[in-house]
Amino acid sequence: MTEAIVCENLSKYYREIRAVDDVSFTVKRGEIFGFLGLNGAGKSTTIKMLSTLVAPTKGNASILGYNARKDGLEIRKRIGVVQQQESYDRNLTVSASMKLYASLWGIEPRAALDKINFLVEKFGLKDSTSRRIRWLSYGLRRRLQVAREFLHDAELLILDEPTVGMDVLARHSFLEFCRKQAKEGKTVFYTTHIVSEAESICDRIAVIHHGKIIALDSPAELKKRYTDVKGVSIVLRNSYDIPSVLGALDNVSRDVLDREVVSGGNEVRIISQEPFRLVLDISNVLQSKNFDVESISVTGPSLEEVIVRLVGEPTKVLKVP
Amino acid sequence: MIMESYSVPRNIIRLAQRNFRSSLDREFLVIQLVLPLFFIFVAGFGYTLIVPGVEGISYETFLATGAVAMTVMSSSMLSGTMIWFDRNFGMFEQILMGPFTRLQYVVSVALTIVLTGIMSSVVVFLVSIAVSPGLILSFKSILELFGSLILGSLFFGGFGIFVSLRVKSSEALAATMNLMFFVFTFLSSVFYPSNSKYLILRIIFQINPLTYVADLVRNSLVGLPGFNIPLELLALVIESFVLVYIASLAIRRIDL
Repeated sequence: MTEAIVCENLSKYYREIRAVDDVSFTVKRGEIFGFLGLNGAGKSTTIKMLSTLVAPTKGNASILGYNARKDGLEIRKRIGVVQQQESYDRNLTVSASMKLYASLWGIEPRAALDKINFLVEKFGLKDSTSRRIRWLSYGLRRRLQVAREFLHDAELLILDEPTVGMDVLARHSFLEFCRKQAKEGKTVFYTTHIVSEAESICDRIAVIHHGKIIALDSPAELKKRYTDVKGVSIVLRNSYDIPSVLGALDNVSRDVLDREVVSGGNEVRIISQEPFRLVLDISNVLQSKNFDVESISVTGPSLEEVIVRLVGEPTKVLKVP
Repeated sequence: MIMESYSVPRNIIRLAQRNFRSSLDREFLVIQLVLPLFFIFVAGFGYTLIVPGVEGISYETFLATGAVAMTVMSSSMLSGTMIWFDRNFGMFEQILMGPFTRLQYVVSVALTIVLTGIMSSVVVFLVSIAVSPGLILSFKSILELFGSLILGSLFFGGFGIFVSLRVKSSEALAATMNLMFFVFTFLSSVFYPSNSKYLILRIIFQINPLTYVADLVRNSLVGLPGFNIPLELLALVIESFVLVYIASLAIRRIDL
């Protein structure tokens, strides 16, 4: 069997609320599958159904060849789940918590010790092994919560925003680790709000919105699909020119979908459906006002811009540093 | 992939071990013993000066056997609150996303509660032997004692679980537990006989399961008849199983 997850018309209703509505998709074995969406879009409810914590209202899911409605226990023996919410035994030390978690999964103490040593090293918890969990920072608690799901060699890892609270190094290291796990044959079902993270790690991405999947493809294909959306990037030599440039550009509006200041405050990025004409207009305005411009270029859409477009709520707020 | 053994008994034992390690720290267990020992050694010796004896036995013996019953109540009720912490610190969901069923979790919690209740009250029982020379220590009396303690721990553990699933905050949980501790203790035969001169008090005493536990413990250890031992045993069996059923139903109905 090549599919790790097969969802057919999966739905979950909470009274009148359709948290997940008629969702169908498959995830191949060894794939890192991204599941993105706004808050309350239905990501965590889908995860609860896939991990057999709640039963679907309608439809069905097959996880690793087992029926989610009937074979919950068989499925749960083979998966590892990092919940969005924190879960930990507050009174234990990191080391005791890992050992206890390993024993819950029936791992022999000696085998568990080797794995624990490897994972505390890998997740940067080595200096915290004797500290009680309740005294750890949020980021360290999150690392522990993620690390322990790699103790029991799950075939399918369901990770709900696993990198929330992790610092940049820990996140980088974790993403590398995830890629390696997928190469070794594990399937990863991954949700995050950090779109660049999903773009860098996921083989395919599904976008869920109001309980329905509205797009599903590889990051590259998703971006290709929305080539009508382009970005115009204006890089200035002096970041203090930014407010004046934004003011000058107020009158230049050819289907501007979104504007934002990026790259530490010296780049303005404008999303438009008519980028080439916009470049000419912008050049004229900036030249006439004698701004010190380093470059103006037209770029393809980022995955984040595609997702903003997909969910139909472009950010109109201008971010000025 | 490591395919470990996930048989039902192994799962329950693993979960119970986890419950002990994570929910019941040493301070909790020590504090559980302080109060009954305080009653035995401080209040008991003090009251002996004004209450020489109750129903033919010394007040120290009466109080020591009552303290055994009180310990099983307080330990079990408080260990039942472990479910509040599991729910609020995410471990309830985490466990149910692992190789366990809800029923296994329920049984493991019940096992933890019974063992905690028995262990605490056995310590108090051993102390009470020292201050109560007239105790009947036979195989039958010990068997009866353990039977009473198991039933008591099931009732009060079930009660602790039920309260834990009803209250939202840790402050409300602590306040409710404190209040119920006093209600159960002082409206039972732990400190004094249940034959109050007021009818309403007698009725309350005689429907309080802690009275049954205290009477059964005294009956097994010193031969006191209580108000009706067979009836009390029957009532305790029924009340314990009703509470266990209600608590397990409440756990199984938790919305996730």
